[in-house]
Parts: sequence; structure tokens; C-alpha cells
Amino acid sequence: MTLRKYQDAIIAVLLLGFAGLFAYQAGQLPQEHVQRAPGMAIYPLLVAVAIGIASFVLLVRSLIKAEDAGSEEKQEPEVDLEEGVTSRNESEEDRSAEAGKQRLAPHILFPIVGIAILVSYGWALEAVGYLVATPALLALLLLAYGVRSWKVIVGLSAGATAVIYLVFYYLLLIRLP
Amino acid sequence: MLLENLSQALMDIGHPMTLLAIFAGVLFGIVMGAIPGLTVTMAMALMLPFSFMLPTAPAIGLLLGVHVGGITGGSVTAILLRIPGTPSASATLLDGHPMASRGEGGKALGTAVMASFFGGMVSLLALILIAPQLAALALKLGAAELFAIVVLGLSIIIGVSGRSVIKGIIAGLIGLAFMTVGLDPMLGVPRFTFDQIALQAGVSLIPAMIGLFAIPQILEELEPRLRTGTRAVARRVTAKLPSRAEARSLLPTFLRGSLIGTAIGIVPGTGGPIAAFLAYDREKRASREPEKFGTGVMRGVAAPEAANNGVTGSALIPMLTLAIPGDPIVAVLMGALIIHGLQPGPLLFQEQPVFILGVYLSLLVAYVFTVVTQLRLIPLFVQVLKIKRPYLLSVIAALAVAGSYAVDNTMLAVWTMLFFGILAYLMGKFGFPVIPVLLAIVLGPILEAQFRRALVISGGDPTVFVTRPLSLTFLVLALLVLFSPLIRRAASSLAGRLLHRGS
Repeated sequence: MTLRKYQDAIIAVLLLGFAGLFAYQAGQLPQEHVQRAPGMAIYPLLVAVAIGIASFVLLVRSLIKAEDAGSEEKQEPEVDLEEGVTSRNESEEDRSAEAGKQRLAPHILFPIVGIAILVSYGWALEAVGYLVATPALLALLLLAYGVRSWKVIVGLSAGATAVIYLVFYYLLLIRLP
Repeated sequence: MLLENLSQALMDIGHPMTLLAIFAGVLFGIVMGAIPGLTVTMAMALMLPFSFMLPTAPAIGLLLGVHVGGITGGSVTAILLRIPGTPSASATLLDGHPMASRGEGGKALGTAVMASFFGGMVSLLALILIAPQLAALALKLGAAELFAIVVLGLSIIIGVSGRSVIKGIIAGLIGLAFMTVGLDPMLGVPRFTFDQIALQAGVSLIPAMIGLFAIPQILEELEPRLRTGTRAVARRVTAKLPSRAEARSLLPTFLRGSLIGTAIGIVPGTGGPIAAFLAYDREKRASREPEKFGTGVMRGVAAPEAANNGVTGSALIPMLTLAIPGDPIVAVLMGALIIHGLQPGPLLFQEQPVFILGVYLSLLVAYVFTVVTQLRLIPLFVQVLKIKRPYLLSVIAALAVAGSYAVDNTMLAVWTMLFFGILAYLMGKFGFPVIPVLLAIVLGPILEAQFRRALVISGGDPTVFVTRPLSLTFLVLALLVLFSPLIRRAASSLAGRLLHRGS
């Protein structure tokens, strides 16, 4: 897939844009020195420049990689410490689940649904309040996870909402919105 | 003076509320640690809002309880189900599960509990002995050196946390960029707030950390994957401690494992998994019958469990003395300290001796609780393991939102949480490691403060960072860690070799 091939390059360009914007904003800050030392703009500027350089390196590297993508992708046998340890030692069932995940990877639709659920929940919290929005969130998430038992959905949504609300109300003295 | 502080600390920690908080932390930690896919870091982040509401002693006790409970909880699943509940428990399953399949699961769990306690105590001892000395030494460092140390700490984490260094660097820098939002640390003038009063307080740490570690898992669970078979049904098990004779023969193993774990824990960027595999490997080589390892020997359980718990105390050494968190769990803990107004660093030992003693005592109490809980309540944890992941994750989603809101009763916190959560998820999808972002948001403000202080002291001379020998050394080391392929390859091939041998 061409888009996938240039994925890193696209991200790098976006990051370059971010770095530019960030640097511009930092440049707008008051420049006067504090006790002869550069003022509040210097550190953000340096961070912005560093992001710019790093993104540029990423861009160049990903373009080079995309060029000779004809050859097989060579995977370095490096180990991601956090994830590698778990995935390598997972049981048979998880390993086959892992394989399934890779095969179905382009299915990005489901997480987008998840993001939409979470964001609309944030919005609903403000609009209708915790006690209405939360059962809806739980029910939607459970449905999205493929839970189809109505008993579970209704019970868990109502139960978890009530428990969390009461814990926060009595233990932390916070009234959720 | 010491006695006075000690009695004060004893009163703080002995307070029923603190004990309850530690116990709650241990319980939550063990459960979350035991459930595969839910990390100790996530457990700690979810507890942050509660710790925020508590006074310092119970708050830190709660979080230390989560840490200790979480690390030991991972072994339950590793032994009974052959799935490590936490990465740290990966080595434990090699001999733990064969023991369980032979019907000796109880003994394997008991060995793990005893080894964990041993490892924790050795590590605590190391913390008590080493941390004050290191803090006294660190007091002599100037702003330029402290800046360089923070850069080094960040670099180490970036160096080990992903396949692509450049993506790790970008992730860290993005985190640093977010932390510049808010009031300027020296002048108190708003920066990047776009005239929003709410943004003046800057990025709120608790919601950001909850988002980083809770949301990605919630979203990942939505990805379709093939589910084949069901999880092995655990039988009724209770932990059985090794007999006195067995314990005596395991003593050298406990000691070796604990020392390896403690030594590894001090080095930032290493952590429990590496310590556990190293200890397992060392134990196998030292054994007269190495071929028996992997078939279910007690030493094969004792070594990694002593080692991964050996990390718990010693990992606090660089965090408390130099403000360098060596792994994500400790980074979240450090964030909690900062929120409680305790700035980690050499001064902490001078200014907050009661707090430091309280940390020691809390760790001790947490380990005692962990042992008791593990021995008594394992059947309960096995039941928890049967709860389906979707149920847990949807409740965690609701809890993450409620917890973020509770921090300062604003919706901004909720949006911060969701923003960082979705960011972390997308970063993961595109191959960017998330841990550097966590480190950067915890360390960002310190990094800038030391940077600016160094410049003020030098009268605006930017060469101060490279003309002071120690500062230069740390910066060169940081560059080496990031860009020397030799060092990186050596480190990752070591880890890779150990893992291959392990699996």
C-alpha cells in the first residue's frame, strides 16, 4: 500500500509543520533577558528546533526506506523491552490472537468508533451530566466490544456508574458533573 | 533528631488511614498486576486521583502499595495460566507454570511470595543505605550538571523504549513541548495559553498520565482479532510456603536474585523484566543441573521473583536523589510526589527527612501486606482473572474519566486525559513509543528550570553546559546512549538473547 509506505513521511511533514508553528509562537514571546540570561522564549525555541531537526531526519529516512521498499523489509531482531517481553511469552492462544491482529490491521474503523464514543462522552458529560452520560458510555463500549448479553450491559452500566459515583461522592467528597 | 523524625514517621505510617491506604494499594496492585494486559503503570495512574485527595503519607503509601502489589501480582497469572500478568513476571512462568501443571501451583506461588519478600527487603536495605549518600553527593551538583543528568535520564529511556530512536526522540520532544504551556517557571508570565485562563496552570499531570496508560488499552481492545479457545480455567489453589528445609536450600538463590535485581534497579531504563531474566539466567548457569530448568524447579521461580522485586526499592534511588525515574512506574510515582509538593532531588533528603523515612516504612508495610494478601487471598484473585476483559476495560474507561474530573473539578482535566489518551493510542499505531512522553511530561518542568537557572548563573553564557566537566560527561553519555549503535545493539541483543533462551 502506497499510503502505508509513506506513512512515516506524512507524519514527519505534519511534525515539521507543528515545529514551525511552535517556533513561530515561541518567537512571539517577549524576548527581554532576565539577569543577562535569555528569557522565556529560549527553551521552547530550542525544543521546537529539535523537533524540526528530528522530524527532518525521520522524513529523509522514511523517504529513503520507501524508495527501496521493493526489497523485503528487513526486521532487526531488536526487542521492544516493554512489549517484547510479554508478546514473546504469551501462551498459544494469545499468539494466534496476535497473528489475527496483524492480518486484520487495516481495520482502523473500530478504534475510530472508540475514539468517537470517548469524545462524545466528554461532550455529553457537560451537556447531560455524569449520571446520564456514563451508563450510555458503558453500554456503547460494551456493545462495541461485542458483548451482546443485555443483562450484562444493563447491569454493568448501571452498577459501575452508581459505584463510581458513590465512591467519589462519599470517599473523595466530589460531586461528579 | 533522627529518633524524633523516626517517631514522627512511625506515627504517620502507623495511622489507620495510612495502613488502610497501603492495603488498598497492595490489593489493587495485585489484582491489576495479575490481569494480563492491565499494567502496573495503569494501576498507579488510576490511583493518582485518590492519592491526590489524601494527605502525603497515605497518598504515597497507597502508590507504593500499588507498586509492590503489582510487581508481585504478575506472578500469579504467570504461574497458573502461563501468561505473565506483568512483563516483570515473564521469567517466572518458565518454571512456575510447569510446577503448576504438575499440581504444585501452590508451592510455586508460595516460593514466589517468599522470594518477592526477600527481594523487596534487600532492595529496601539498598535504598536506605545508598540513597542518602548519593543525595549528599548530588547536593554538590550545579544547575548545569542537573540539567545534563535529566537529559541523560531521558536519553536512556528513549534509547531502550522502542525500535526507532528517532521516533523515541520525537516522542520525548513532543512531551517537552506540551509542558511549556502555562505560566513561565521563572517569570510567571503566561506562555502558549492562547489567552485561555484555564491553560495557565499548564498541562495537568494526573489526567495526562491516566490518559497515556488507560485509554490505549481501551481502544486496542476494540481492534478485531481472532479469539481462539478460552482461557485455561484455573483450579482452586492456595499458596503454600516452602518448607523450612526447602527455604534454607533456596536462600542462596534468594540472595543472588535479590542482589541482581537491586543492582539492575538502580540503573535507569532497565527495570524488572531485565532483572528477572538476568537472575534466571545466572541461576541456571550456577546450577549443577541446568537441564532441569524449565521443567519446574523452585529455584527457577525464586530467582526471577527475588530479582523483579529487588527492583522496587532500588529503582527509587535515582528518582528520589537525582529526580531521574528509571521506569514508567517510578515516573508516575514521581509525578505524584511533585503534585504533593515534594520535589525529588538531593534537597528532598535534607528538607523532608520524615517523608523519606515514611517511604522506607511504607515499603516495609506494603511488603508485609503483600505476603499476607498473597497467601490468604489467592483464590479470590483467581476469580478476578475470570472476569472478561471488556467488562474491566469499560469500567476503567468510566473510572479514568471520573478520576480526571476529580483532580480539580474541571472538564479541562477530562479533555486533557482524552487528548493524551488518544495521542498515545495513535502514537502506538504509528510506531512511536509512549514512555518517552511520560518521562518528558514529568521531567519537562525540571529540565527547563535547571536549564534556565544554569544560564542565569553563567550570565547567559551557553557554553556552561559543555565547559563544566561533569555536565559535559553526562551530555556525552546521553549522546552515546542515543546514537551509538554499538551500545544499543549490545543492550538489545543481550535482552533478545535472554528472551529467546527464555521462550
